[in-house]
Amino acid sequence: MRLDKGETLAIVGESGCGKTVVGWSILRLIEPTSGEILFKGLNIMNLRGKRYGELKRKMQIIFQNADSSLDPRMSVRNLITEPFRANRIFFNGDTIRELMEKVDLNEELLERYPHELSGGQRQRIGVARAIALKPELIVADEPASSLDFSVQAQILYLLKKIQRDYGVSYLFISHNLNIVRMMADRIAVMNMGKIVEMGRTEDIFERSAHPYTQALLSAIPAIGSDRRKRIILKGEMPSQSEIPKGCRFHTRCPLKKRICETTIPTTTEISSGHCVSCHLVCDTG
Amino acid sequence: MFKSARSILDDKLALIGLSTIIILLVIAICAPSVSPYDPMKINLQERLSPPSLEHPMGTDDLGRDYLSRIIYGTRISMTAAALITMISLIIGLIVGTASGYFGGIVDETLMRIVDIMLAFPSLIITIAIAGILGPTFENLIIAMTVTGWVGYSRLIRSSVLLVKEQDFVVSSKAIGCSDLRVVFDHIVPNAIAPIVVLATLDMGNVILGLCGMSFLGLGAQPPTPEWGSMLEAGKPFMESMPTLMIFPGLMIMITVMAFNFLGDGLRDALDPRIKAKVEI
Repeated sequence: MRLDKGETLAIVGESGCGKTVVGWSILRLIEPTSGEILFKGLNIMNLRGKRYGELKRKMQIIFQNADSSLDPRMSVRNLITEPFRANRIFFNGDTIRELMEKVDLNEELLERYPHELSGGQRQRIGVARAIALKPELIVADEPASSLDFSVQAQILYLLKKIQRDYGVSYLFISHNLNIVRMMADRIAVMNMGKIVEMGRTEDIFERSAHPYTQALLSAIPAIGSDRRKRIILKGEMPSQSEIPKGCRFHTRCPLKKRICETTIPTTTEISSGHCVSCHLVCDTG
Repeated sequence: MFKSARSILDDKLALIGLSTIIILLVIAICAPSVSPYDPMKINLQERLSPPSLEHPMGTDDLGRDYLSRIIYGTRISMTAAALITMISLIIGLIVGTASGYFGGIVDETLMRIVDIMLAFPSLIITIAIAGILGPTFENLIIAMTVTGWVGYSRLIRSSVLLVKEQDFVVSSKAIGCSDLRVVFDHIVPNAIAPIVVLATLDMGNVILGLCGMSFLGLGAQPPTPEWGSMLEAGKPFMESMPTLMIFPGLMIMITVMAFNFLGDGLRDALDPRIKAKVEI
């Protein structure tokens, strides 16, 4: 999985498939058990001390739940200046004003506390905290899912605007495919902790190859006659402690073949930048 | 906060507790000006006199004015209880936060020490320490602090464990806050609120313990006008002059009850869920 500068990569998948784990591991909020994470060519797993601190500043996160990600006992002013204070970076009234303006918040809100704000305002503060240090990568962990519909659009628009202004890259974690289609340049589809298909947004939406992706796509509510036939997955998601042998999706796959139960599928690039790991694809293409 | 203040005012018992405590505090602070006599002044001519206009609570076996002694006793009990609670809270806060936040070996070590302390009845440890250090009031305060912090550290640890997992803590770590900053800016302010309430509730028990130990002769020594030692000093005259035991006993009861009423009220106000359950 790679993410270029100024690009948005979306990770989609059902609940509990490991989307958030990926995001949190990148920021080392949880320690990955294996593998490596490269940022600007450096393996952040091995970095310590000052170098790591500098690098860490370039990566920020926007949380899913704006209510719980802001300390209820801190005023807005303290919340949005925390990034500067924590990293001993100079700031003044202008810095705060500029930041509040960037996320379209009125300065009058500075002395308020999170519980006095609306959900949209809270999420904007979350955004302000993330962009305060001018990061190059922002992990957006379902940034809009706790908000109502009209506010969602505002927040997403704000994120787009920030990307334009700063050239920041997003790792956009979501289960809402409509939002993903609007936001993402590329999409990675995850099932049970593995990426099963990855490609440009058009490739995934128009030419999806993995049965899991197709099932996900068919679940998008659509209006009018272009409604696709729903693929309903049978059975429950296997538990994380007993991951199925072979393809991790075979227990629920509608197109399962014998080989799926025994062999882990390899990843094949079916067109430029569009990778799939599925036996069906390997055989036919 | 405003809401909880309102519901405390609505709660009659808590209100009674709060006003009693305020009155007791005023008495304690203004003891020299509200007490009619010097509590230490011996007047053998007037020894063991019954309550009268001159001496509203009578005099003790050395002719000292009992009301003045009770008033000064308020001051002693209140300061000692506040001191014990505060020091216990501070030690408990340090131990509990370190143990809850860092976990692992720090947690194991600290909590095993706490377990050892909890394994003995606190009264026995208090008696032992007070006995070893010698029976003075200062040593009793030390002894009660040694046993007092243990419970707080447990509570603060569990409170810290809850707060630690919240998104805003993860968020400030992602932003680059150091452990120290996370602890002082986010964890302590959010974890301590319920504990402070508990500490209020506990003040009554601390006063009870102080007086009990003094009564046993392990705390304040006779000339000091402390309720527990006054009870002890009044014991030989229980039949001839029962007021010598009734008044200090009453004061202890009133104070402890006031703190318990207020503590209950505070708990209901800060955690309405408990109360709601009872009402159903």
